[in-house]
Amino acid sequence: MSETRKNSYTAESIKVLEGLEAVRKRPSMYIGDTVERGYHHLAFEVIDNSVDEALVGNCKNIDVEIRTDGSISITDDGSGIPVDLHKDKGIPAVQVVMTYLHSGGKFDNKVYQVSGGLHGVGVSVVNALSEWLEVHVSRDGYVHHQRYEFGKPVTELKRLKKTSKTGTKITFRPDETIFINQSFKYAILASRLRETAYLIPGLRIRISDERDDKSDEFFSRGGIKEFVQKLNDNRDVLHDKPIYVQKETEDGIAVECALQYSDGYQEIVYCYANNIRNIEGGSHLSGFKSALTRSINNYSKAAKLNKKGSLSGDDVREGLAAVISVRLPDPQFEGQTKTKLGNSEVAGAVESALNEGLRMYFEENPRVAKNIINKAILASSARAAARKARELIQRKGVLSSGSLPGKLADCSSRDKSLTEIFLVEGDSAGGSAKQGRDRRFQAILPLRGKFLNVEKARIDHVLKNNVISTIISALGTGVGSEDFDIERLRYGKIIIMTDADVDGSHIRTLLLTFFFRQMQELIRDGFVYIAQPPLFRVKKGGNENYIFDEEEMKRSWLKLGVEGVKLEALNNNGNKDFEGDRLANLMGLVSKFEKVGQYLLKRGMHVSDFLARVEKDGFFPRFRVYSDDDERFFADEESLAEFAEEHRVEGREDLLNGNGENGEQEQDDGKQGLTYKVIEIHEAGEIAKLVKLMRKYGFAPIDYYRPVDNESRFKLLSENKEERLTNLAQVLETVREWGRSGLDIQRFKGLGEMMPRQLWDTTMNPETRTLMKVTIDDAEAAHDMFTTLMGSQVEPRRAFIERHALEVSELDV
Amino acid sequence: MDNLEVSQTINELNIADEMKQSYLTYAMSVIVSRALPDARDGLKPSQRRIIYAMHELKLRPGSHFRKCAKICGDTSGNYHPHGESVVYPTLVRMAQHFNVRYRLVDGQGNFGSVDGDPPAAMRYTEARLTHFSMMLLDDIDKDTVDFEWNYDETQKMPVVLPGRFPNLLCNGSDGIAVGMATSIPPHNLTQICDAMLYLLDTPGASVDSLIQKVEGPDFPTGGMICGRDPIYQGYRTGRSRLKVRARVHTEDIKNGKYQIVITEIPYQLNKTKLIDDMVKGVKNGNIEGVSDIRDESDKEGIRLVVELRRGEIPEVVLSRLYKYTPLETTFSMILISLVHGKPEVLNLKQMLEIYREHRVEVIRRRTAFLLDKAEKRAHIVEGLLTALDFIDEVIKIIRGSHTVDEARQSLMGRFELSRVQTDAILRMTLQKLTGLEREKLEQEYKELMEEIEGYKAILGDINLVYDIIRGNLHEMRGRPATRRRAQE
Repeated sequence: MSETRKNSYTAESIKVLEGLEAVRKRPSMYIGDTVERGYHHLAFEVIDNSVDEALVGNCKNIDVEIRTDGSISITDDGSGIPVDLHKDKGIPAVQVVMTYLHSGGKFDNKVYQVSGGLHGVGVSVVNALSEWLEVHVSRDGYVHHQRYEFGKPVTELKRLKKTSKTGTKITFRPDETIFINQSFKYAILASRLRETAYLIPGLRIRISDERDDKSDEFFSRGGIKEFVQKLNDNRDVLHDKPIYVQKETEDGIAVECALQYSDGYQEIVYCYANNIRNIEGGSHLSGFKSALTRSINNYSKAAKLNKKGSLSGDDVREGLAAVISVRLPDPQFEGQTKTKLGNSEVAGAVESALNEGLRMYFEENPRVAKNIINKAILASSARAAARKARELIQRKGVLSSGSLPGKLADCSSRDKSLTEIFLVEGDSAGGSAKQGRDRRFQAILPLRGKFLNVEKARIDHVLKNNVISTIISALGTGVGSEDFDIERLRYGKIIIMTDADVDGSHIRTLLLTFFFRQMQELIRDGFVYIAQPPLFRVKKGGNENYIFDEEEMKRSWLKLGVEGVKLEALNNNGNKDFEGDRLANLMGLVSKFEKVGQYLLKRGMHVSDFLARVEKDGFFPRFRVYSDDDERFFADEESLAEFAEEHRVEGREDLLNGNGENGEQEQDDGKQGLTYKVIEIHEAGEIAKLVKLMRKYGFAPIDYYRPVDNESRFKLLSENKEERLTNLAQVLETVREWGRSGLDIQRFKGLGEMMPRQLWDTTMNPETRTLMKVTIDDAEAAHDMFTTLMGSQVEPRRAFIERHALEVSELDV
Repeated sequence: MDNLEVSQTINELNIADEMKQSYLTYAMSVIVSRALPDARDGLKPSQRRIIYAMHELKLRPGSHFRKCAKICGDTSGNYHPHGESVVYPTLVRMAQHFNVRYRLVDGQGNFGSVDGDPPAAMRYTEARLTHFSMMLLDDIDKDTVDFEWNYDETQKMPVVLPGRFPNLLCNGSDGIAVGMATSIPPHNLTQICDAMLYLLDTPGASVDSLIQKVEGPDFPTGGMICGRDPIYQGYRTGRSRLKVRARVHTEDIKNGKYQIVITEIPYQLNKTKLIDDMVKGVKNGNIEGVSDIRDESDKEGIRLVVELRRGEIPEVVLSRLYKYTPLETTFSMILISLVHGKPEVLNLKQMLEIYREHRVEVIRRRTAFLLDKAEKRAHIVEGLLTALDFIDEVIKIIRGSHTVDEARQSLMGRFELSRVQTDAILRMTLQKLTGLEREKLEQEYKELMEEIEGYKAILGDINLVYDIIRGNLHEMRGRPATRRRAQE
C-alpha cells in the first residue's frame, strides 16, 4: 500500500490536498452543519449527481444501500464519471472530481442544463469528509476502482475487470471524528428519494437498509399527478383526476403543478425548485397561492356561485393537496434553512401558468368547480365560527388571571430556554407530577376529559373541545394560520407524559395528531418531546431500580453479574484473572462481538466460522466467494478481481454476482465454468478493531466462540457458584444469568405507581431523564400515517392493523 | 439552575414511527384484550375476570349473595387493573334479564330496567353466579384450561373458561374495537344444542342445514325479526343487517276505536326513549291518528298502549310507527370474535366448530387430569396391597430399622417399591390390617383400574369424547325456560 501512496504523491496532488484540508477544517461552510442535516447532505450530494444524470436521460436506476458498518453506497447506471486522463491535471478525471473542489460536470452548463440548486459543492467534499470512500466506475469496457481515505487517494485508479455496462458506484463512510454520533436515517433518505421519483417520472430508485432489512422501491410513471393522488390516498376526493398545469416560460423557467381537493380539512402543499424541496416555500408558493385564490374567486363571481363576498386564501386551500415543481437555471435560496426560493421572477411564471390552467379547467369542468367552491364556502363559515371560538378562548383567559387555564400549575420562570410544560394524562398522574416537579421551570397541565381526534374534525369543532382549548391557551401560541405565532410560545419544551398502557398510547396518538395537524411548526422547530418513564421496576433485596429499555436491562444484568465474580482464563498467556472493572470491560467487548455476530448471521455466516478463518488465513476477509463446491475469502477488491480474471470464461460477462456487484443475476447459460457468488462482509473492518482489543486482553479471536468441547478454558467463580465454560460467548451468557437471578422484575405501567420523588428522579429531572424529541423525518410518510390511523376511512386502518399486528411486542391487559 | 441543561439525554424520535408504535399498541390491546370476546367461551376479559373472581369468592347459585362492591373490588384488585367504576357496569349487564338471554350473574337489588333506569350503587346491590355461569366454570380446577399471571404476577387467572355453556352463541356479544366491531346476537340454548348435536352426528354438515336447526337469533326482549334472508346471510357470511320489530297486537275498544298494544320491544332499545320518539312523531305530524300513548307496563311485563282516534286503521298507524320510531330497529350482525388471539369473521358453522373443538380439548384435558390422579392413587394402592401381602416381613423390617430413612431404603430394596409407595406404607395405620379394610382396598383398586381403562378409552377415541359432549348438550337442552322468544 505504501508503494501506491508514493506514486500518487506528486506535486500536483499536494495542492489538491490543501484544498480538501480546508473542507475538513471548516465542514460547515460546505455542507451547512456537522449534525444530522449535514450528515445526510453527504449522501444527497452523491445521490444528486446520479439524479442529474437521470435528468438528462442517462440514468434509469439508482440504488441506495445503508450498510451495517455505517457506510452508504450509491449506485447508478448512468454514463459513469470519466476515467480518461484530465488534460490540465494529468490524473484521471474521476480523481479530479474526487479531489478538486468545484470540479465536475455540473459547473459546465453544457452538460447539465439544470441541476440541484443548493448542492453542487461537489463530491470532493464528501470525499474529504469521509473516513474512506471507494468509487467504482463502469465505463469504456472496464470496471475501474479507486479508494480514498480522508480525501486522499490510497490506491490508484485500477481496472478490475471487463464489463459492457456503464455506471458509477460510490461507497463511503463519513468521518466519525467530524460527525459525532451520527448515522444515516432511513426515513430522511427515503423521504427525499420518494419525492425524487415523483419529480422524475421513469426513474427507478431503490433504497435498502441492511441494519434492519428495510427496503423500498420508488417509481412513478405519472409524476407529480401521481404524487398528489398519493397524498390523497385513503381520502374521499372531490374530483378523481388531479388538475394539472405545465408550462415553460421564455426565460427557461419550467413550471409544473398538480392539485386535487379532498373532503378533508388539511392543506398540503409541497413545492420544489430543481427537485429540492422548499420547506419554507418561496416565490413559487406565493405565486401559486395568489393564482389559486384569484382564479377561484373570479370563477365563483362569474358563475354567481358565492353570494357572501370573496373567499380567503385559507378557505380555498382547505382540503387541498398540491405539488408545485419549478426548474430554473439559476436558483437563489434564502431563509433559515436555505430552502426558501428567492427568485422573484418565478412568482409571476407560476401565477400566470396557473391562472390560465385553472381558468380552462373550471370552464371545462363546471361541476368540479362548483364542488370546490362550495367546500371553500363551508370552510369560510367554519373559519368564522373558529375565529369566534378562538376569541372566546382568549377572552376567557383575560378574565381568569394571566390568561391561563385553572388546571395549569405554572412555573415561576419566564425564561424560555429553561421552561418546560408537561402535558400529563389524567389527574392521578398529574398530582404526582405537580408534587414531583421543580416549580421554578416546570409547569404541569393535567389533561382530563375527552380528547378530540382532530383529523376527523373541522377547526371550529377542534377549538370547542375543552382539553384542546386548555392546551392552546396554556401554550399561548394561538392556533390556525392567521393566529399561530411561535414567538408567543410560553415554554421552551412541550413534554408529553403519558402512562405506558393502552389509554396512554391512545392519548399520545391524539396529542401528536393535534400537534402535527394544527401546530406542525412546533414539531418542526423541535419543541415537542415525549417523556420516557421507566419500563421496568427491578427489585433486588430492598433496593428498587427503574430501567428504561431492554438494552439497559441486559447491561444491568451484566453489571450485577460481574459483581464479586472472578473469571479465570485457564489458557490465557497474559493475565489470567479478570475481576471488577477489567471483567466488566471485557464483557462489554464480548457483547459487541455478539452484536456484530448477529449482522454476520444475516449474511449466512456464523461468527465462529469467520473468526476461525481469521485465525487460519491471518487476514480479515472482506469478500466471501462461493459456489456449490468451492469457498474462498479475499481481503480486498484487487485479489478478488484477480481471482475473477483467472476464472473467467470466454463469452461470459462476469463470473461473480451477489451484492458486491450491483446484485446482477447471473443466468446459467450452460457454458463451462463455475458460477460464483460474492458476498461482501461489511463488518470486516469493525471486527478487525474488536479483535485488536481482544488481543490486548491476551485472547485469540477464536476464544469468542470456540465450539463447545470437553476442555474448559474458562472458570467463572463467585462466592457460592462455579462454572466451567468453553468460550467467551458462554461466559457472557452465564454472567448475565447470574446477574438476573434474584431480581424481581416487573413491567411498569402507570405514572401514578410512582412516588412524586421517584417520578422526578426517573422522568422529570433534566439531569437524569431521557427525553425523546419528536421529529418529522419524512413528512409525506407521516402524513400518510396520520391519514390512515386517524382519518375517517375505516378500511385502510383495519388493513394497517392486520398487516402490522405481529409487530406489537407488549400488549396491555 | 443554569447548568440544568448540561447532562440530560435527548434522543430523536420520528413522528411516524412513534405514531405507528403507539397506535398499534392501543389498537391491538383494545382488539385482543378489551372489546372482543374469545370465540371459545364468548367472554371479554373483563367479564371473564368478574366471573372468575366470583368463583373465587364461592358465590354459587345456592350460596349467600355478596355485595357487588366486594366483587368489583376483588376483580379490579386481583385481575382487572381498571378501576371498579368500569367493572360494575359490566357486572350489572350480565345480570340484566333484558340484556342477556341467559343471565350469568344473579342479582339481588335494583339492577336497572329496560326503561334505562340506572342500577343502584354497588354498595347496595348483591350478586352471585347463576347455573349458566357455573356451567362455564365447570371443571376449571381440573387443569382443563391454561392459566396466566395477572397484571402484577401475584395470582393466576384463566385464559379462557372451560365453557360447557355455549355462551358465545347463546348470549351473543357486542363491542367496538379499533378498525372493527363485533355484534353477535343471542340465541336459544335448545336450538344451539340441537345444531351442535347435528354437527356432532354429521361433521360435514352444511351451514344451511345448521341454519335449519338454529332458525334465528333469540333476543331476551323477544320481538319480531323481519324476513329470513338477512338472517341466513348473516349465518353464512358473518355479516348482515336484521330488521327487528316490536311485538304488537290490536285491541278493539268499543265505538270503532282501536288501540295498538306493544308487548315486546326490539333488543337493546330503551323503552322510555321509544315512548319519547313516538310522542315526538305524533307532535311533529309524522304519525297521525293517535289520541293517546300510555305505558301500562307492570310486574306482569311490558304493555305499551297506543290509542287511536275513531275510524283510524291500526295497520296504517302501525306502518308509520315502524317508519318513524325505533319500533322497528336494525340489528347489525357482525360475527367477529377472537380465534387464537386474532379477530376473525366466522360463520355459524365455524362458531359451532370452535365450541366443539374447545369442548373436546377441555374434556381431554380433564380426562388426562383424572387419569393421572387415578393412576397415582392406583400406584399407592398397589403398594399398600403388596405390604398387606407381606405384612409380617414389613413389620419386621420397620422394627429392625434405626431411622425412617433406613426403613424406607430397606423396604424399597426388598419389595421393589417406589418412594411414594413406601411413604404410604410407612404412614399406614394399624386399622388397615383388618380384613374388611383389605377388601376395601382391593375394591378400590378394582374400581381404579376400571376408571383408568375408561379414561384411556376416552383419550384414545374421539367418539367417546363426542358422546360426553352429547350428554352435556342433552342435559342443557332439557332445561326449562328455553323457549325461543323472538320470532320471524
